[in-house]
Amino acid sequence: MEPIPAPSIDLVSLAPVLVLTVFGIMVLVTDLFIGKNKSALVFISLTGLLMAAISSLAKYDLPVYSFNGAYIVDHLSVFFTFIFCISSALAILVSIDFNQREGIKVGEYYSLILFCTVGMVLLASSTDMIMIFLGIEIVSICLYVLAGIRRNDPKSNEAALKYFLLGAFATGFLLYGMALIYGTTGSTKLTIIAEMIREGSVRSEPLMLMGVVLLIIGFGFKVASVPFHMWAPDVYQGAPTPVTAFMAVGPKAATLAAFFRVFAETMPEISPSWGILLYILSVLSMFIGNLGAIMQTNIKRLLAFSSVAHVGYLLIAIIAKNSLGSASLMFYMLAYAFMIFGAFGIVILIGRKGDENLEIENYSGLAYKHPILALSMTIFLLSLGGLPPLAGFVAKFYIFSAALKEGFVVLVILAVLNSAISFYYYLKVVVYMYMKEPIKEFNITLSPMTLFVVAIALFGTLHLGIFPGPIIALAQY
Amino acid sequence: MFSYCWIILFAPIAGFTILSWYGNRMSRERVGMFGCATVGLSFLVTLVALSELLLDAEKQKGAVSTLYNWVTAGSFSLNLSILIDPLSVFMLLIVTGVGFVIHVYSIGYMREDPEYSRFFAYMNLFIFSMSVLVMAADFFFLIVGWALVGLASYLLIGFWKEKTSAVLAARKAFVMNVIGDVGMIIAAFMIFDHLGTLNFLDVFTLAGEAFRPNDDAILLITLFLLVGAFAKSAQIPLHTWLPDAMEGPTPVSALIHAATMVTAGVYLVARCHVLYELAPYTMYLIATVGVVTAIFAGSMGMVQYDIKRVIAYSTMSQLGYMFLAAGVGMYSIAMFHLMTHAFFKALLFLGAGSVIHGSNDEQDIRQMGGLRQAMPITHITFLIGSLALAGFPLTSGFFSKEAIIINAYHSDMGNIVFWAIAVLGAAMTGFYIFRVYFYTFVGQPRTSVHAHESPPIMTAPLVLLAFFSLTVGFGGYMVDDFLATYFGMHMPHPDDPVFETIGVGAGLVGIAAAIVFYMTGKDRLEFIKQMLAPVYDLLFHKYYIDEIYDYLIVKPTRATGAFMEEKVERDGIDMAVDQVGTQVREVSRVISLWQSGKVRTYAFNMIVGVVIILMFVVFQ
Amino acid sequence: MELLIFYPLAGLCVIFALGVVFNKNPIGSAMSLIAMMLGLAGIFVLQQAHFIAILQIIIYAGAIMVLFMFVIMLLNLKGDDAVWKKREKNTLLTVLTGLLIAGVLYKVLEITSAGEFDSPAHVLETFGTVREVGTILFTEFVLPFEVASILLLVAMIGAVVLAKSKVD
Repeated sequence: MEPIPAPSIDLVSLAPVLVLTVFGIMVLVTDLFIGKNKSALVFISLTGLLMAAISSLAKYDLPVYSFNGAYIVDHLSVFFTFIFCISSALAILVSIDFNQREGIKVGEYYSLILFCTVGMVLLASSTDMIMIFLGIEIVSICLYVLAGIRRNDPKSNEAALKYFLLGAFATGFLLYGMALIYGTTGSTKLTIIAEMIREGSVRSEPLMLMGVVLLIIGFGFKVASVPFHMWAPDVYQGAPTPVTAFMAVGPKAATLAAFFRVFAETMPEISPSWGILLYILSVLSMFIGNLGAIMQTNIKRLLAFSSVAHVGYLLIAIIAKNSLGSASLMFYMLAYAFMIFGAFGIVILIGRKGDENLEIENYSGLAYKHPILALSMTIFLLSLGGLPPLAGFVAKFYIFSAALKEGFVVLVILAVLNSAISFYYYLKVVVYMYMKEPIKEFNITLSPMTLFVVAIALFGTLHLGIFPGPIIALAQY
Repeated sequence: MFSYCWIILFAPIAGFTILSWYGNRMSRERVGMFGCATVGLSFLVTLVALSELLLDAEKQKGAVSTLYNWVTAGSFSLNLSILIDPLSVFMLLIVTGVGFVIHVYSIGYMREDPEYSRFFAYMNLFIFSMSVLVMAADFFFLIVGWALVGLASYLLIGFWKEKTSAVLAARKAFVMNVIGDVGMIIAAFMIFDHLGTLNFLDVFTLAGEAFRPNDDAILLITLFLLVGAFAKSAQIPLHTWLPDAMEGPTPVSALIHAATMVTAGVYLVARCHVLYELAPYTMYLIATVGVVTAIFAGSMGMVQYDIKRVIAYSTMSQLGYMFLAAGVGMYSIAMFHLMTHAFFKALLFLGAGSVIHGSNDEQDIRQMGGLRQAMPITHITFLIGSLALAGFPLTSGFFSKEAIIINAYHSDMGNIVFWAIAVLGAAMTGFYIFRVYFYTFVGQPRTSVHAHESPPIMTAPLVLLAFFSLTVGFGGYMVDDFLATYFGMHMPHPDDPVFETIGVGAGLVGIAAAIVFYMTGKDRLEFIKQMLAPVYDLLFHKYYIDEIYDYLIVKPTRATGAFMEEKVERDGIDMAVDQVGTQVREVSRVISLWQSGKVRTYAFNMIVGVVIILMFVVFQ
Repeated sequence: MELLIFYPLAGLCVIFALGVVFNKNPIGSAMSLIAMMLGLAGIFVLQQAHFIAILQIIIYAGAIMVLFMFVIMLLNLKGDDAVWKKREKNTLLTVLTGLLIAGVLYKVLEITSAGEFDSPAHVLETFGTVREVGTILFTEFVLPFEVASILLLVAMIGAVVLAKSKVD
């Protein structure tokens, strides 16, 4: 018998994944042995995230392909790994006080966040459809569980179940699409698929197209774009607030990174066929997201609809499919992470045990009682809307200029129009905070860790808005 | 060069920040002083810049001062920079100068208000926004300033937030302004798409080569810019917010709705005159809309009873004149009228504020009367303002309005129709403002309220503005010389005594008509009987003529005005604008209902989405 | 020759798949599913994928379906469950969507059958054997193979978290 050839293994490329996995297991094991005080777990998790972020820099001379072209370390993946680590760290920090308040088991919680980060890193670094599928599944399963981690809360259970059922459904489409593309190109590796498309040696053009469409449907569900967004408001509302913030940023960023890789990088040649589809999805997402948000009275649902609209903006970066598009995607997601964690941090602060104060009315008169909180919330919301000179504006500006460079003027104008609509509901919250009398006493415990997250987010939102230069230079590299 | 001009921006924004954070902890005097000082500082710096421009003709070409390179995306970059040239300095003089006077006035007017510091914070924010708007060196910051001004006016109109009508008016103004902003943004994108830059200087240099006159592209760009200009300057059909905006405090009306914000549209057209000259069709449209607004608003001003609403309609009408001037290519005349209007209209608003203040917050002119004795200074200054507005010879309004009316016929793009309508509007102007004047100041008090003169802190600004309302008219040639470098031409002086006399006469006829109707009208009969017994007989006969006049002129005019307000305003334009809001909320509600919460529905919707997408792909 | 076996097998698969959907009794549904899996395994054999066929039978028809049966029997699910019957139906919409899907699928078939596929003749003799599958798993697809273990770990943690008996 001839010997099996040795596989090509490059553990250094894989370092962030390995570090995070190890630390995830470590959190689980440590949880068993330490007593009531679980703060050690936070420390371990944060160390893991920090080390993962550092280890992602281990490779230079990017891009580096490894594992027979299934894994890549390039600029996009490194930058996104940083975004994931930052957003997961913020999610952990913002959960500390929340978990104590709501009595959530922290051991599994933190390890699931770490494993979820593993999935995200894999998603952003994979150049093989099987890997992308696995990454999506790791991320999704973690999120199903995290959404339902508050088991005594029927809303949380409902969110988890809904998310799971619909997510499984969407996974079917994704997998089917991948199978069709594999069938027409004979490979799951994105590089080979790209080459075949470039040479025009795909076996059946229509079948390939079907596969592409099914992929869009699968990805579209995972990033909650219209018409596959229906789960988002319910799940965002039902899931524990830190989890909502977490899933609004990291997993979405990861899926978009993979989305960008599969579409903009692998098949730009057939972009007329998928571009028009994404164009429609993007416009629909923006309009339905923004219009849907207007009538919402629950702040989490409002932010859920607004996140649907933001996906609409982000899809523009994929449609633009140029290098400016990928840079703007990175910048946007980083800015988005700060804005979302800031806003949700304040949502968490406003709530207390047994009464989460999620109605917008509950924000009435916040400015009189806690002017700094109200001002921060205002900044986050206006930044989400895209007001200069905040981070959200620069981010949108980048995406739009990427699209303008490719000549999508109408799309950009529609997006700008939508930004204008979005101010309607962002300002609604601001008006409540500044112009209405409080409807009841605020009973806010200013928990230090959550405040810390808000402070970081505030710094990020302002810094990225006023001095975007260095980060943009990094993103464009 | 001109880097010190950043102080003009920094002073009011610093005022806003400090007042909004520490305002509640400062004493009232200090809040007022501080709020005025920041604007005063801006004004002084503007004066320095002005002197520099005047002394050195070389600098009049304009200079860009860049503070910081903000973002760079691909080949395109955004800098924090300001443009200092004759036009921007000219506007700054009005914004900070008149703004300063109004700030001082507010110290007295708002003295009783519990939220004194918030008011001054917002006023400072407004001055800052307006300065951004006029100092912007590219379309981007122009739009930023444009939107900020909208925000500041929203805050100021809705300042008395317990007053529902004020909040609604603020919201309406905001929505209208956002419509304008969107138009501007679209225009900016189109400019960027065609020229690859947003910088004013570059755009205006490149435009000549990039566009042929009346190209589709340049027409669209100028039209979209015009949406913004019309929304800000309350021209038909985007004007409905202005009368409602009178719900705000009176100094706000003076600052925003007379002197500064509403003139932004005229400024925009003047600033982009290079683009507009490439689009003569759009120019024609501007002139038409301007002249139509002028008589439309004038006719409505004639039937209003709220003193501030009359002046608001008058503002719309005068803005119509400015657009008429800009539309026929006489930019420097438009700017000249903008300046004289800023003085006398601010004066009228502040005078109205003084009247309202003095008669215990009464705004209905039917409840006033005889304030002449009780408020002598207000009376005299208001009279001066009215004369200037009506274009009484040798007041400031006379010079600027005459120039517009005469050029409406004599300039290359003018015609006899513009001229005729403008003359008609001038007559209306004289009529409605003196109607207010007679109702308010002449005769006897109609209510038992004892009016009192306002404190010196309020009357001093009135006197100052009255002085300028009388005198700035003589500076017309200086203004023209100063702005000539930017517009590249001097204003012509057509010599046509007949048309000129008719123009002047129209205003006088309007005043005379007001005298006839309101000094001697039916409701004045008792008063006249008592006061003017010797001439009673004569007047009695006049009364007979009045009846004829009444049927021939007054009734039809009133009916037209009422019709305009009822049908065109309420049912037409207002409805259309309100419907936009209602429909948006309706769509939102449908989307929320669609979100039923049932997984089965969600899955079903997904399937439908999938099928539609597949159909789209398969049958493509 | 191959087609002679393929079509009956495929037909059976479709029939049993429909059986899963239309069967009123959960046990009947589950049994139909097993039968369908067996049919699929047969098709895999036709494709020279013996190893996959065996895995299909062991894992799906064996392990997973036994689990299904356990759950069904333990929960004592019956087809005439009142809640199940009470669910709202929108027959018209369902039928319409079904027709649409059918139409689209037909069109897809039409388009794809027009395409030319090169024959899969150059498949190696060893294709689909245990050795070949193993080699590929440990060389070319070693990373997905390993990453799958993380996925399983996560799923396990999740199951434990959600199914712990004590509600905290």
